[in-house]
Amino acid sequence: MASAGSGDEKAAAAAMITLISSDNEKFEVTEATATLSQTIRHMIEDGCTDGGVPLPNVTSKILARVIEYCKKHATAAAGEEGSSSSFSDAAFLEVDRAFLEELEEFDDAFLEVDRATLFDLILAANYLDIKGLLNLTCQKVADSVKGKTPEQIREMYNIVNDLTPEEEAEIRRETQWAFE
Amino acid sequence: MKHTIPDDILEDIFLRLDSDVWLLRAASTCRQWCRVVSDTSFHRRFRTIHGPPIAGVFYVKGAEDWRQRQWLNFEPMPSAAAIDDRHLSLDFLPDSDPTPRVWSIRDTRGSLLLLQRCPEVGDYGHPDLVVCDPIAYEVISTRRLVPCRNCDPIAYLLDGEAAGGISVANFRLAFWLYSSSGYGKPAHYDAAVLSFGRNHVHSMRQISIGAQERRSMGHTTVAVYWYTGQGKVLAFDKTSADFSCSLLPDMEEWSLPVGQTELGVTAGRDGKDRVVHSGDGGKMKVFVRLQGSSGDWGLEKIIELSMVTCGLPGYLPWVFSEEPAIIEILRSPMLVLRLQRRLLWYGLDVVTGEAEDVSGFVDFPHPCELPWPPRLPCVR
Repeated sequence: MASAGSGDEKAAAAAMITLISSDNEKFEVTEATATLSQTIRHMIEDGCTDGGVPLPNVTSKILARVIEYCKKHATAAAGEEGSSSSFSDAAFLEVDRAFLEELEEFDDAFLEVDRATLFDLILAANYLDIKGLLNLTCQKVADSVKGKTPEQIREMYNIVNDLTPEEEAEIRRETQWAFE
Repeated sequence: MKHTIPDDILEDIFLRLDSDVWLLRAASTCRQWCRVVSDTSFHRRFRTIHGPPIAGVFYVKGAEDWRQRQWLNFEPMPSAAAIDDRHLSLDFLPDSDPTPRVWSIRDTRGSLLLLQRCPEVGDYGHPDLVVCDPIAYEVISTRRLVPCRNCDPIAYLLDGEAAGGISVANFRLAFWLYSSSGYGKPAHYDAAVLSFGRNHVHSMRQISIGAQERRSMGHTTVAVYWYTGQGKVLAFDKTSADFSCSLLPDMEEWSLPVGQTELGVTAGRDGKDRVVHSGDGGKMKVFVRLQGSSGDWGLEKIIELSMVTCGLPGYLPWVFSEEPAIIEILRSPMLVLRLQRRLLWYGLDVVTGEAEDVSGFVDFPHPCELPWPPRLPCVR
């Protein structure tokens, strides 16, 4: 299977997909990059990607970031697969660790965005069904909420306080210990 | 542009918060966040991931006799580190200032503590029991309501009559009363259940539990257990306040008198209660409730005590052949075994079968939880 399929795989890896953002910008990506998104993977399987994939929920600014993430993680995934047979175990582990470290550094740097972008990335990751990106961004929000007061959280994420003063007072009264 | 995160993603984010404090602060940010945090299925998932909302554990130093004045130590859990220390210092109790303290812990359940004032010499009359919620700074005295003039009552905290667990506005207290024989009546056991609702409204129910001989096996967060002979177990459920009977599998030892059977009960790490029997030759039998509605017990495993304690201080291959180990109950998940003759104490985890040396142990841990589920306003 390996020898017979290798030509096809190369062809598949080289196959390009066009993604179209809500503001009509076109992005050419490899199929390997695009299929990190389960949503796009299903579209490819259903054969409805000719003429580009319109993504009306994602702006070009956010789509560019999402593609950046997918490219990096797709390369990492391909690198891991390719290396498993050609290195000795020790060398493989070494390479593996280097990959993971590099990937972690990339993720950390990737998350250095303003809060509005972070929320948009979450929405895009959810819409495109990219598990890794959703996990990463949700954890970032959770970490940023820890240790903050409600006022600080609202300011950080531009949240409008739509609780009535009575409701807010009720929360404070019943759970005073959490606000000291 | 409006950045609204769908409810299911918000849930995912909130499930990653490792302290109830951060969760409640997030809940008071806006309507949507409050609504997601108030959802009952979210409550279940949050607790499944993070375990019970334990604020910390009270330790009583030198607890051989609870009547002695004691030092109450509190050790907070890391997840509750954001809570002000004042709550758990219990400094809001009357006369709590001089140390060692005049209050001793009799029981804990949820966020409530049952405390008793240590009696003065020659102090008779109703025991001075208070129920307090250290997180809410509330104290309810039950002195005039305690149905016995006995300074050492056996009392437990139970969930309230209304659904939704236990809180200062919804709890019950159970007392075990024993009347010795006399006036032509045999010795008799009664229980009294005192229910408290909102605004400290209370009611009392007395239950006769017969004259049968019984041996206390201890209690877990689920129930209080007794052994009544012939392999029969009597349980008092701490949520429903009802009694139930169940059977242990047939064994020769059940023909022994009630008082000579070395039995205890412990809650395993997995949350299931177990009855343990310490027999001759250092064989400890562990029973767990069988699947199905009968509630009867089946043998789960036999632990060879000399094997699991091998290499621990005081270990000799034959110590368990000299005498059956006495079961001292500690709260989950450790069970403490005592060998009287050699003054040895071993802790045993009945689920993993691991043992450790706990000689000279003096600390009885009483876990104290944070109020749960959070009382949040109903927002749409």
